[in-house]
Amino acid sequence: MSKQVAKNAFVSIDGTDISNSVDTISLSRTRGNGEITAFGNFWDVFAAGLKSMTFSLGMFQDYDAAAIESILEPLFDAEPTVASVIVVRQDAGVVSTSNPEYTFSAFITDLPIDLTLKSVNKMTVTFSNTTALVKTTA
Amino acid sequence: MSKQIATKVRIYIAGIDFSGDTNAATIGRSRTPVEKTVFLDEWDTFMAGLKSFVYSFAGLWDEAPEAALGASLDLSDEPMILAPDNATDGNICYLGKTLLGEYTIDTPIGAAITFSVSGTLNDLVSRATIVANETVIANGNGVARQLGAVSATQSLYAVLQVLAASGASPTLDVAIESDDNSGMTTPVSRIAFTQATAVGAEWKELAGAIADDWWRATFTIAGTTPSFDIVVGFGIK
Repeated sequence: MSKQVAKNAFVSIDGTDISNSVDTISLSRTRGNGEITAFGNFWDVFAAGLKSMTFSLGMFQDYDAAAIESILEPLFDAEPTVASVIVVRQDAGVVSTSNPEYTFSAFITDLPIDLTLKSVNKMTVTFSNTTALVKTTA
Repeated sequence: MSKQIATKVRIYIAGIDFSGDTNAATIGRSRTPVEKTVFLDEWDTFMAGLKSFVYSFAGLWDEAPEAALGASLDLSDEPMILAPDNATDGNICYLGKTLLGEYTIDTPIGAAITFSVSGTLNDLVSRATIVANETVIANGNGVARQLGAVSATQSLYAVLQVLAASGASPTLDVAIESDDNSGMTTPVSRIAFTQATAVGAEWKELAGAIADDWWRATFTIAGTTPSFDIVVGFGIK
């Protein structure tokens, strides 16, 4: 697929496609590290630690029945919290090596209401993962 | 309502309508992630902690918000109704119990004097409904709306905002009734607000279970040429 412009990304929550409410998907993967530099080393040396991820969606707010607020608010408010299955890929087409799919379970950590005069009603929703991130290419 | 541009946000706190002075409003809804990563995990993982809510709004400074906020830094649990797209009867709204944390006035030379308010919310009911927004001058009922039953693990929440009161010795009794049919032929009073005689606001809640799923507000007014401007929000969670 080579370099590409993001036009048809896919994201679902618990099997519900919410792509048409989203204009930004941010999935960041990092690996922690611990310094193991010792005498005799001429460079700082590190050991690999655990992986971690952050995930957020830039979304358009919509208060219609069955629209995005009605989907997300119950997930945020539920007690006890049940993590949702999140599925993300850069294109809504078939999963492949050039269109990998990322799946993980997460709960909503931030669900803001941001209202600014004359601005489109949008929000950035952030999640925290309860499981590992799984990448599939088929 | 669909995707929208914010132009008709309505904010009522403690009987004050801040909508005509504000141009930005936020409600922050957060849940603390608590790490549960252990040996043998390959990824940091988390479990859900407690929720927290904050609010803020800002706009152009005026005497009305100053009068309400300037002496209010010690107010707690002031009821709020925030409607993201007008407070028309039947529209969605959010109910909150505000604790004022900070009130700031900015006075830059040559520019508009602005203010900002922020604080925490001791409770928040999302996706509530405006069940009344009117000037009450006679006894009557609001529109009946099918807003759902209340399970044993849920509660009703209602906020009354009295924005204006006039007349000689005016009194207003507002209640929330329920029934199992749209005609409200056998209404049951579920929530009764304290009798209003002046500008102010009140938060009420009632634990379920309630099988009725139709709801309306009712008004009983007394005095000499009495008139009350009110907004009532109602939600179930």
